Amino acid sequence: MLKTLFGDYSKKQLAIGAVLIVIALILPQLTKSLFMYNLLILIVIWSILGMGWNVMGGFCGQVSNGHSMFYGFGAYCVGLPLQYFGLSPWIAIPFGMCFCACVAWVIGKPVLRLKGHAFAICTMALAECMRYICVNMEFTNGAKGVNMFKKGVNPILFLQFKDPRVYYYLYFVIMLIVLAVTKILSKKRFFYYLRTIKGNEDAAASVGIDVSRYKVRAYMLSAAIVSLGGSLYAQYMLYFDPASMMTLNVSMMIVLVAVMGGIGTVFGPILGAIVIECLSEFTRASLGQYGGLDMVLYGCLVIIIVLFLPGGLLTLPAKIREYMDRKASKEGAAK
Amino acid sequence: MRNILEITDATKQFGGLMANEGITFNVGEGEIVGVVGPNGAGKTTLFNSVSGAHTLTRGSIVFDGQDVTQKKAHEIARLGVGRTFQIPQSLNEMTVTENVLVGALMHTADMKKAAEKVQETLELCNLAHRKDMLAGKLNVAQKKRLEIARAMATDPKLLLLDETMAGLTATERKDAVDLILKINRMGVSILTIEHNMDVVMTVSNRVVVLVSGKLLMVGTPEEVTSNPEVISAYLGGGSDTDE
Repeated sequence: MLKTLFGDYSKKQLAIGAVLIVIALILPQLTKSLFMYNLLILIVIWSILGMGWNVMGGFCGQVSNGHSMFYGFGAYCVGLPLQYFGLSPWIAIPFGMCFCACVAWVIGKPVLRLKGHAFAICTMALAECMRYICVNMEFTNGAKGVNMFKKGVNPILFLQFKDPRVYYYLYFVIMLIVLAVTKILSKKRFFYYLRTIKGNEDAAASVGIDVSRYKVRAYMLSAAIVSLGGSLYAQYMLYFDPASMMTLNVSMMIVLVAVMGGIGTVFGPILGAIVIECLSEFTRASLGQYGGLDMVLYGCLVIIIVLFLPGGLLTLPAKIREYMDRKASKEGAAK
Repeated sequence: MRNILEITDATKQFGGLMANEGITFNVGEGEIVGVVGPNGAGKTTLFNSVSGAHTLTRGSIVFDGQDVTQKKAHEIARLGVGRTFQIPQSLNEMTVTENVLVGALMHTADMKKAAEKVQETLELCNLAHRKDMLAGKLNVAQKKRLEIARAMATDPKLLLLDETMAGLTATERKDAVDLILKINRMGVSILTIEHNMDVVMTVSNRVVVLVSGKLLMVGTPEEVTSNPEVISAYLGGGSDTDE
């Protein structure tokens, strides 16, 4: 297993990875800013969401624009059992993941017969339908949302901590687990099959791949991971409502995290989450008071990155190397 | 000789278009059968029906003693039918090794065993020196060989080759012919669509001629090339029939 996890990397790359992990662990100790704690936690949560979407959109090539549905369901699966039965999130989070995988299985069977834009539009419509249902149903508390704060409960049992750094460290470990699972799966038959389906469905069928079945499996795994992200977000905020979790905007953000970092790559979503969240939070904090100027700047920066690095930020080192090589060969020719 | 493939009354209709009508022929075990015919004769449609990409409107297809008429493409592939495509469907974002690996993973989830199979297949198809290259960067001839390699990695009993020689130079064609013959010597039966008559004559034990979706004749290469109807329909008109 260690070979699968680390076998692809040189000693230098592993050392860089170790240093980055150490920095990520030390960072919360270097600041007392709640803004920074919040930013770090959001980066971790959005990394998980991006990795979840990436299974379906990046590896399998089925671009879903409705993953906010699973994000919202993940939140409801911890919020409602807590509200009605006082259930611990340690049970509710895995339940939410299973629930979302089942939902993905049920809707995936018909929806995944659609291809390309039709699939993207259909998933978007489904997410909107689900949002309206959640807004209008009584047992979900409708538009009021779910308040999860409970006074005097065991903080470990109910994941309700006063110190945001505890959330960060816990979520960081969960993110590393999701990353490790993705990395291991990327070397297994399942992910090779997903990449084959992304490449060409006819070619996939010609090597014995049951395309529909593997698409549904990818959708289930993707939904489960995104549900995990939704549960963690709800648990951190201790409040959520459909308007903040199940909108098209959220679906697009999930897509953007993976696309900006490097679609179909293991580490891309983490890089995407770091950049997107930093851009989003810093522009909001510094320019938020100027009537949407923060969103304009944020949008422009996103456009610039996507335009010049269509393969995602992970391709930046290769692009720089390519540029340097070209420059060196030009200079050599001139001499 | 035992038949590996039995096609009986194969008919495929797309709306008002009869792409294949009443086609009946067999492929014997270890045999190479060429399928020829002018453009629009229904050769690829027939391949798609055999490989499960289409379902026949009428008729039956029996592969290795099993009726596969209603089976899906992946089920037929798992029974032992490998195929290539007229336009190479290489997985461009994957390396040559990975392209072949997905074929080798059909019968095993063990990556080590699959990797051994990949190495063997790459050597067979003379692609070992390109194994780390992205498939999208290969030239046409290499992409065609890669398609054969991917199909061969599935250990097929029958290989369907769809215009493998199209777009190849004379040298590349010779290499491709050698590869087909080598694969056949390994015990794999081959059904090949080919426009290049020299190649068809060189590799085929028998030739199936299709015209306008119908079977014109089945015979040895010599019988086919000397048949006036074939000459008229396929080779652009012979002296006997034109007169």
